[in-house]
Amino acid sequence: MTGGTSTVGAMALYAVRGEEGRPPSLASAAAQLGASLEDLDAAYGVVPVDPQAGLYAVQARSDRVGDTAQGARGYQGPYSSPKISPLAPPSTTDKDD
Amino acid sequence: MRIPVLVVLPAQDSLREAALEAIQHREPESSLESATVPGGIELDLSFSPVAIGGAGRRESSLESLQPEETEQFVVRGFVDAASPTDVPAAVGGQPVFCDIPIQPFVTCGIDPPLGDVALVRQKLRLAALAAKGLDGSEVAIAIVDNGIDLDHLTTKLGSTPGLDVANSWSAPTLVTPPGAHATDHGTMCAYDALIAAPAATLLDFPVLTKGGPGGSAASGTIGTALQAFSSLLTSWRVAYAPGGLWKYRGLVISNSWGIYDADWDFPPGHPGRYIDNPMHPFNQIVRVLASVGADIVFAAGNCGAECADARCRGRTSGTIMGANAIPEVLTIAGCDTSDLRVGYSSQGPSIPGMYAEKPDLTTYTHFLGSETFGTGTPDSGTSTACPVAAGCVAALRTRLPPDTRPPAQLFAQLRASATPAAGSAGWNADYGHGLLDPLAAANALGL
Repeated sequence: MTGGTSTVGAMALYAVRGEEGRPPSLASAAAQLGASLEDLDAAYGVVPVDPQAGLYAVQARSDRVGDTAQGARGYQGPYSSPKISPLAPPSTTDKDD
Repeated sequence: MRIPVLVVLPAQDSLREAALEAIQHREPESSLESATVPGGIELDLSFSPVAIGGAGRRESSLESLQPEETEQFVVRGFVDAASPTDVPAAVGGQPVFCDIPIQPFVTCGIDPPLGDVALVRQKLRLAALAAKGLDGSEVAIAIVDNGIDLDHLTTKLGSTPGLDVANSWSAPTLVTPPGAHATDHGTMCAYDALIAAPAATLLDFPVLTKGGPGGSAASGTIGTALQAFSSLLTSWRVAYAPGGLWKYRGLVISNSWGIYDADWDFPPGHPGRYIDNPMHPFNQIVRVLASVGADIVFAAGNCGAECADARCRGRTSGTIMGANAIPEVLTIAGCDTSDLRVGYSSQGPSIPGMYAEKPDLTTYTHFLGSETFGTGTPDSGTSTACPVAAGCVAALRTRLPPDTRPPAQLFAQLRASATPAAGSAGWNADYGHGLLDPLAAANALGL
């Protein structure tokens, strides 16, 4: 999800849990999210956030993630992935250079 | 309230003598207290009377402006009034004028460069830092930006800086190899990081790419930045693979990017929002990386009150957002080479929900440096101040491993060693804890 305020239907970040000190597989992450494997962004992969704490991130379609209450199945999200931009040179228009 | 005013008074001996003392640089002997002043005016005894010539004439000869010849003086005083609009036009028949506060013009985005990289080196006392052997040797600086053009750096620097290709990173869809990107913002940042740490090794982390979201020429997403930071974390302190980042004495991560507009994020109150949510996964990984010894430096932003970037859409308060506003990072404001905050540098406090006392420090921007955007153009934005500071951190890390002095301690020392700005000690919204002084920090750390 970027550049807007809608949280439905777009890719969003989710935090999922590792398994026995290892990153979860995409399939395992999908299961945690109550989604199918195709609903995850395979190119994005499983990204270590805090491996010691067993925390990883994936991107998934927010409209396909299970409606289980946040955290109840071990995942957290959706989290935003807003646009980021360089902080120079200062612009006189409200469009990115 | 006590309102400063300028008052025109007829010439009198006490005023003539006080004016002459000032012109001749003599110690004041006469007392302005004996001057005849209309009731209601409290004379400012620290202000030397100024001769203004003849009364009632539009033109004055040079002779008439001599204290001995003038018929009138201007003095400074104070009037007690409820507000400036209640100050009378005259007191005791003498005209009263506003003594309006004046300030220097601030540097804005469209202004030409003020000073050059040699002046920045001089003001940061980098020769003394280098004499201590603090030059960034065996320290890695990750430029998290839109890619580095090594050829441009080589041309500008006269030699090819170190670039660790193997430990650089790019998104799977990006085919441009590290160091071979177009000359753009990331190249400027790399150049500026090498000012204080010329022997440091660059890491190219192009998270901002052309064709990014919103059709912009160079942008990315927090999700991409998360991937990049995860790569740094893994190579620095998790995998310990042969040739990984752990071989360096220090890892400094320079981030000259951010969010201009809160509308780019989820709406306020959404639990997954980034800009004011310390528990967002990106803010979490920043804290994890800092906890394992990476020095993370962020630009404050370009939404300063005097001349904010148009993309801020008029919002100039609470604009230091997201990871730029978490306590574990060093957040950098920008000043020009006259030590004056540039008008576009974002001011604190941060967005509610994040650590309020940002920026942490201020250092130089808007000088002639890399000329990335064309001959004669400045290295500008807090984008420049950030890598200048990152280079200073890398220089200090040459002989200060994070195992013995973790980032939090090093940053605390940098804040304590800063030169107070605008005459105020402690934190202030414009400059943070003051102007970065890497040499003072090095001395305090015993380097």
